[in-house]
Amino acid sequence: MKTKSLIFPVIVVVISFIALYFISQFPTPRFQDASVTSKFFPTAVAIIQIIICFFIILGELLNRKEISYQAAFFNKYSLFGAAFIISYVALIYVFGYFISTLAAFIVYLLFFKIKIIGYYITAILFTCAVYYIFANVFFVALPEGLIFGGVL
Amino acid sequence: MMDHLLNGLMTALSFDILPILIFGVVGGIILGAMPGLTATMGVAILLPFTFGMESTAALVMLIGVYIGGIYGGSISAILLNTPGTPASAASVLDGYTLTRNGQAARALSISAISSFTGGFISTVLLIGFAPVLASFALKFSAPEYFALALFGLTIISTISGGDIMKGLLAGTIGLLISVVGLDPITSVPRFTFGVQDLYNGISIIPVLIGLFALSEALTQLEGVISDKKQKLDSFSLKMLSRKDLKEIAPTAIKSGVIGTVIGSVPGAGADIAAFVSYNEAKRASKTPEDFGNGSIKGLSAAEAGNNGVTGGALVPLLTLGVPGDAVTAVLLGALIIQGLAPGPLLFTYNPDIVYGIFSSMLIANIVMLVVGLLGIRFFCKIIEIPRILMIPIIMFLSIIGAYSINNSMFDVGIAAFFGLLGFLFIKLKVPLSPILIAMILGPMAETNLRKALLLSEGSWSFLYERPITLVFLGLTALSIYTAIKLNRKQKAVIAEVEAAK
Repeated sequence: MKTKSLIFPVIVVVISFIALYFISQFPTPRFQDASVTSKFFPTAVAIIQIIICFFIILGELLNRKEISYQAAFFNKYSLFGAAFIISYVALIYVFGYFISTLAAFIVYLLFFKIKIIGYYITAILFTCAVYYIFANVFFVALPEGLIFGGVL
Repeated sequence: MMDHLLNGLMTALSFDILPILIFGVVGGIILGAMPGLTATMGVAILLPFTFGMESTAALVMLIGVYIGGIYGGSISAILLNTPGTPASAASVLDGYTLTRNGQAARALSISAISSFTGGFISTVLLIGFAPVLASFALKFSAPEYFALALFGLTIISTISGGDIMKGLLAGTIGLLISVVGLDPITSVPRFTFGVQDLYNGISIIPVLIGLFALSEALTQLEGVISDKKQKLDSFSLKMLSRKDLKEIAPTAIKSGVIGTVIGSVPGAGADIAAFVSYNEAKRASKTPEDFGNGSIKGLSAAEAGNNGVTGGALVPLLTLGVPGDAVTAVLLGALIIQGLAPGPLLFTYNPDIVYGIFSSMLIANIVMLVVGLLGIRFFCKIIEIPRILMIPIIMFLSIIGAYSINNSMFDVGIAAFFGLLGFLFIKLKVPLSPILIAMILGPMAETNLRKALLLSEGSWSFLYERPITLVFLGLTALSIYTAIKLNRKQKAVIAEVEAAK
């Protein structure tokens, strides 16, 4: 139970130390006439971050009485949502906006076992309307994808 | 000033701009009315699509969404007992009681008129005070801007939602993200790892789309199955009477002023303004026992208070370039996208834009009033739109929006990454706004500190030798002290309530 609230600050501390390592590798410019270098600000932030995490960890350890996580951290819908976003980004990269959006919308509706035909019509209308509005009203280019580049 | 304002009004009322403004206000009301969708999210989603638009049109639309979104939040608060936005949480107290008594139309019309009063007063005060503050800010140089950025960063301690340490941690994460890219003074690459896309740094817009739109959509998705379809009972369409109007007028005006003052303080948002206005109206009332039981004064105070923030929050943004809350941070992104630098010089170099914003705010409030009063039946239908259909639409628009800023799949990846990170942070109760505020103010603090050190030949004496710098540093210390004190007080109240249970 307790570990859940401790993992996050511990991870941040690890990241801060990794950041400090990379900061030490920043190249130094040939002409350096300032009293602080490009390393100063990120170093200060990383150190402050470690100090804050230390206080959070200390607070969690001292304040033992509370915290009982009853609910699961994620449910299957949020995990589906996360996978959905990642898959959609990958799809749009390969197939472009039109096919990816239509396919993703339909997969989403099927996942939730939607039987209302109007929702599927909305998916088609939305995809087409966005395509038209962005191209002709906002003059914003939509992703074309690797396969259909220049076609859709 | 009057010339600029009149020109701005002519522009806002022109055939090119007015439809965009109406679209923005109506869109904002619709988004705000849907539980879970905030004004910040609305502005964040629409922001990238304004890229191809002319500056005034783009800003007018986003201002419309902002003003409409804050008002829209009260619709679901009044009709469903579910605030559409945090800003309308106080409206539930009396608004929903009126709905239960079959007076939903009366409550919604009071809400529209009070929101208009608050928003209009706030804009008038913004027009009066912002140019004065901007001309004062013209005296600032690097040391003052550094101290101002430091003061701005203390906002983090007040918007951390009760856990200052987690808020500060989120702030430092934002600061570290802000240093990615070429160093602003020496052009040394930092955390770029040879990736070309990182040399220009991490763009703010995909980050805010991820943090405020995608993560929120994921959160909504979690509860979507348990979500019952919202159905409203029938109610009388009788709106507020002349007697009601007379009764609420003084409260609405006073709350509008309170909202403006609170809104102009960085970190204090519309939710705080609504509750402070509500408490003040209750304190001043001869019948405080009516508050919470369908008091029209209570509803009016909450609504005028939260809409009063709309103008107030733009004071630090436009005059100093410091965003006071998440939604103004997003608006700052809009100004940057249009190639404008918020701050005192905006008044000098782009008065047409500044007064265009002021004028469109005045008109947006009028549009909101008209739409609010005429669209009561329509809004009752909006809240019946199934969330299960809205969530993928938000996700798609967010991803496409992230892409369209630079036609870059890298930005899409950034938005998706921050969407997932934001969702994880929501789960861990780490506030998201500090990340964005720190990303905006971090470069301002670093660049000006190093410029100040170069000017003073490495001496840190500028911190105590320059009076304005000293004042800002004093305000920084005061801000931290106040935040800690408020946090302790809040914890004590929570402990008291829990002990009473």
